[in-house]
Amino acid sequence: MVPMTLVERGASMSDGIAIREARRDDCAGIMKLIHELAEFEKIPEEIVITKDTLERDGFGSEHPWFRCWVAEDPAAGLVGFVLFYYTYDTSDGRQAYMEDFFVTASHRGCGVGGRMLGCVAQVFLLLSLRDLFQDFWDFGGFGGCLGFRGVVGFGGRGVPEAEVLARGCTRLSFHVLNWNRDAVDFYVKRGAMDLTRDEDFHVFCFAKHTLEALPK
Amino acid sequence: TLFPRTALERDGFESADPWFHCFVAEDPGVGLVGYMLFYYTYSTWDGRQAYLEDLYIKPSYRKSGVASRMLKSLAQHKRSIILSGVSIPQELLARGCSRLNFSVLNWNETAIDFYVKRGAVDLTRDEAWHVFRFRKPNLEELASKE
Repeated sequence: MVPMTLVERGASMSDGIAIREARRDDCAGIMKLIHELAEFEKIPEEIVITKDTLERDGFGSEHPWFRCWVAEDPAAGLVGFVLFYYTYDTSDGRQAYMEDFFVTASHRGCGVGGRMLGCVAQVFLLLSLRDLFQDFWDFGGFGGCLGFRGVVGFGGRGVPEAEVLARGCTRLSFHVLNWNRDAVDFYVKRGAMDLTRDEDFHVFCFAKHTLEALPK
Repeated sequence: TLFPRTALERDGFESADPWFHCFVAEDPGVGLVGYMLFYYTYSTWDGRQAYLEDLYIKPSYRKSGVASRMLKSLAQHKRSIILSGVSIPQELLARGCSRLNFSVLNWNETAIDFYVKRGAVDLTRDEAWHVFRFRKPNLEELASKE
């Protein structure tokens, strides 16, 4: 069963570093880490967003554009963050996407990253539980058969409709730069699959000016 | 296996904060001939974005401009218009999105041509981005290690 205490408390203490949900006043610290990550990834683009953008989009309304968890060292401030949002797949339903996951250089190699990822995984599984109880009341006719079976260990195909409705996020997707071997190893060691290598998925994008110029 | 209609109804239409948005192309007298399913995402460099999860047109309606109009309608923020009996609502830039992202299987040359011709960039080819995924058993294992 999913241990509830971590997310209930909203924090995890280990080696003095607290891992918790981000608050509005963390945005300045998060922006600093975002800049560090951009440097690390050698991405030449200018970072357009600011602390104010993050505050508005993450904490300014009932429908945030993203969720964020941070790692905080009392002596050093924010030393890591993971930023994600919920997505959708028309064969598997609710999903999540991890946009950024970063630990500052001085705090790598001591388990902070692994613990942050564990926290985020718990959030997704807790989402399953919340939906489970909501669905039980909404779809009363299922007569209690949902129980806790719906949360753990789904098969892929041929899953009964009740279970599809009961499950929260079934997958966490993210992008990695192929030359970032440390990151690739970190994820593969934990069971992640490289869909680009294995299934030939390519990531595309339309930048704003191309969207505006789309021909009829 | 078919994804349950009830799940689509719940996740897309029963809350103030839907999990996805969907536009359809409708040929009056025939019904739905295409759809586009997308959701809003976020970039820590340029903020609000959108991700195009599915874009599908029935075979007999391909190469007739329907997909093109659907993609254009997604990019614009005008009200819905009706063209040649096919009506398409329009949205996206109004929300302040700076990019539309999506994935394509590398062997799907028709799709790639369609997108590249319109200015899309292959970030896997150009910048070495790979798509990774954790499945639920991995998430459960990660969660239990805390």
